[in-house]
Amino acid sequence: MSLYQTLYFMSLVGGMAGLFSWVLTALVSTVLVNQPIWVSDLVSATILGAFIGGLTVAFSDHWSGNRVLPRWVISGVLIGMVTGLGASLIQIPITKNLGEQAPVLTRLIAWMLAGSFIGFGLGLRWVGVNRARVAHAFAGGLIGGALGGLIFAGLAASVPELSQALGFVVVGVGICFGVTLAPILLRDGVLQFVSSGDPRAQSKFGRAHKEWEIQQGDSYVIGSQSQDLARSRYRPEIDIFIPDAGISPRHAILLGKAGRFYLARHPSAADQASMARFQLRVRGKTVATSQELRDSDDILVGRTALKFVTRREK
Amino acid sequence: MKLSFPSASWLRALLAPLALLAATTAWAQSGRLDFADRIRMVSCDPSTGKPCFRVAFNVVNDQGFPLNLDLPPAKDLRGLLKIKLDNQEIDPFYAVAQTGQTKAVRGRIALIVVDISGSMNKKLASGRTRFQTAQEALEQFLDGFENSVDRVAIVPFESHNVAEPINNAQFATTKEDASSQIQALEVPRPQNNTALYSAVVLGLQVLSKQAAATPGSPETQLIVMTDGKNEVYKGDDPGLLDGPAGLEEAAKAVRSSGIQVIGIGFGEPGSIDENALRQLSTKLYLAEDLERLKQAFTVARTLQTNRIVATFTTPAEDRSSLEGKTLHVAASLNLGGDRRFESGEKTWESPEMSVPTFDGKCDTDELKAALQLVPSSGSWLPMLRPVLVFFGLATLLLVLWFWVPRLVWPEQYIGSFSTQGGGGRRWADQSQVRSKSPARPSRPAPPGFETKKGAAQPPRAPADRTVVQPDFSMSRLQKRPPQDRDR
Repeated sequence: MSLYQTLYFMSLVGGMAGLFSWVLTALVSTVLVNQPIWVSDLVSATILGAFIGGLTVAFSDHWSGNRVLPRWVISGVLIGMVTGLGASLIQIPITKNLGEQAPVLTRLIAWMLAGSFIGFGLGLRWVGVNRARVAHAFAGGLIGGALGGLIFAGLAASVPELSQALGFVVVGVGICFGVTLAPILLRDGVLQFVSSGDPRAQSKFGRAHKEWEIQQGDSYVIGSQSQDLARSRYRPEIDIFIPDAGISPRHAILLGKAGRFYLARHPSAADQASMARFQLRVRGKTVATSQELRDSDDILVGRTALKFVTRREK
Repeated sequence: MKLSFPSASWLRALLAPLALLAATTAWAQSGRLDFADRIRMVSCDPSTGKPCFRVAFNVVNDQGFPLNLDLPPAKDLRGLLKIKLDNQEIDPFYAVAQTGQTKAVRGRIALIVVDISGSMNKKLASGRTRFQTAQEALEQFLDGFENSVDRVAIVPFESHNVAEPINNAQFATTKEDASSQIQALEVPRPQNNTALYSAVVLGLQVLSKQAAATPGSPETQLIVMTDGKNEVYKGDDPGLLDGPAGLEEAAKAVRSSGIQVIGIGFGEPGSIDENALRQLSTKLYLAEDLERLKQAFTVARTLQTNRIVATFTTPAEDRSSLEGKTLHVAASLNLGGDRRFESGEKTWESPEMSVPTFDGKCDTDELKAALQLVPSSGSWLPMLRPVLVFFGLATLLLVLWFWVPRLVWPEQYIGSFSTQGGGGRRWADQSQVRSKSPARPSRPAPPGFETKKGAAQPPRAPADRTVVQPDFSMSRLQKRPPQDRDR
């Protein structure tokens, strides 16, 4: 799946999460009686966070080609819930102070807070790859939330239900779009799948021309380790998963540092036996420790051919 | 049954405010409607599916004292009261004037927080302390206490252990219990300071919880009685509200709660922080002696018992139609002649992100009135609309998921359709074809591996031998005579 396909489908996942949230929120609101006004907002933001968190983790893992782990999906749901809850708790004093004077602005702030907090929660997943991703996800969620809030405030008077449903969908789309777009816009390089001698890798990535965006500060682990073996509760241990028998569970590290990109053997695959068994070549030469990457470099990882393209050329 | 007559002091206490009220009735009919509660969205189901709104008013004179008006019964009052909703005039379908003499429509809850700071030990000209005088005046509030209707709690506050007595307030349901709470008030100690702001915030929280736990949306009221100003020093409870920020926080809590807060300042005018107390209350009364204090409590009681309650519907067909909306509500009461009272504007806001929820249910009288007067829309649209919205948006997402990508990235979808039967792709990134069709278009088999076209082949057993038929059509041998080839 190319970068723009990822962006497109991830945004749709956000929209789907928003739609499901709207349905559940509408059902829950029928049983909320005699509650302070902020309770219904708290419920809405929590449900929205849960759906966006859970679905985003599930689909991004599925598209990475690796297994979808239920515990990671549950972590995504919980983190989404906590961030949604946090956003609505912060909103309470804002509504109290600003609600009467500027109701539209208050509404907008509520949606932006929910969007940015949920985006922040999603961004935590990639904090190991690059800390800046958290900020990008936060900003993406903020913009998505603002769009959703504008639609909610603008359409509410004329098209009831649709305004809220569309607001939820747009916030979902916006958060996931923002979270996915930021790394694409800020990318300094792309790792492209060319072909693989392993039919599994070829089948997963061949037709879709899979791409992985890379930016300065990123540190990707390339490997074939199934996520079933991962010990973490939320973030994937293998960032670029290639199901190739010639690739070791943790094969290589691709990192961007000081304006340059490097491909290095992973320490767990740096012994003599691993070097003999698991190939790692750049421009046809075996990489023993690490190798700086240049634009249009051909990379061979196991039996999989990749191409590195960058805008930064020194 | 033994009847007891009020003593002379009781009579004086009772007559003083009544005389004042009579005076205002006789000479001044100018006044206004004051909102006595927040605007509540209530459910009148099953009489009507439309969301209803309930408002409560006090009719007061220009000084804020309740006017003793002879209001018409419910059926006539409804026609005299007009609700102005975002510049649109609406007739309420139900209106009732409650007074201390009429049967209460719903319950009443009052919380009285009494200052027991050291200054309350100061002696008045009567020789009694402020605290003793306050205890006597508090009894005035219990006048007309209805055991089945009223719930009153009287709690002290100073600057030590502020939260506990307020949070543990026991709402007395009988006059005797309430009276015993007054008598049981702790005597002020010299080291006590005044945590006024915190007491107000805590009082509002307790009152809100109590009101939420009581069925039937009771009329609520918080009375704050103090003789000074907020004074918090070292050695008092940590985290008590103080200074301009503390005052602002407490004032915001009062505004956002929508609860009627009556401030009563007891003492010399200079000793009371009138400005702060004004910000902390919806109505402020100052008293210097027992009579004035009793009068203040009588006024507070009247403001709780004498309310005009009106219920109306909006043009919105259902709750969803109110989402994202802020309603500006005002009211006017026209009793004929120059007796016209108008209220200020109060806002009702829907939640920021969701459908507004009901703030209570209509009582029996409201339901009866709604059944008669609120026209049924008879439309299925409000019920059908969410379903249509869901399926519309779901269809849009499905089209965007399955169809649009085939237009944008067609090369990735070539050959992905199964020619017969089910199967096919479920995920957009899967490039493998899962066709169950036996007649899958493909290249012709290599020479010698063809099957009989059109004939169903029997399944092969493991023991079957593969016989390759040599084909020399493409070799040089084909030009040789057959006998040479066999040789």
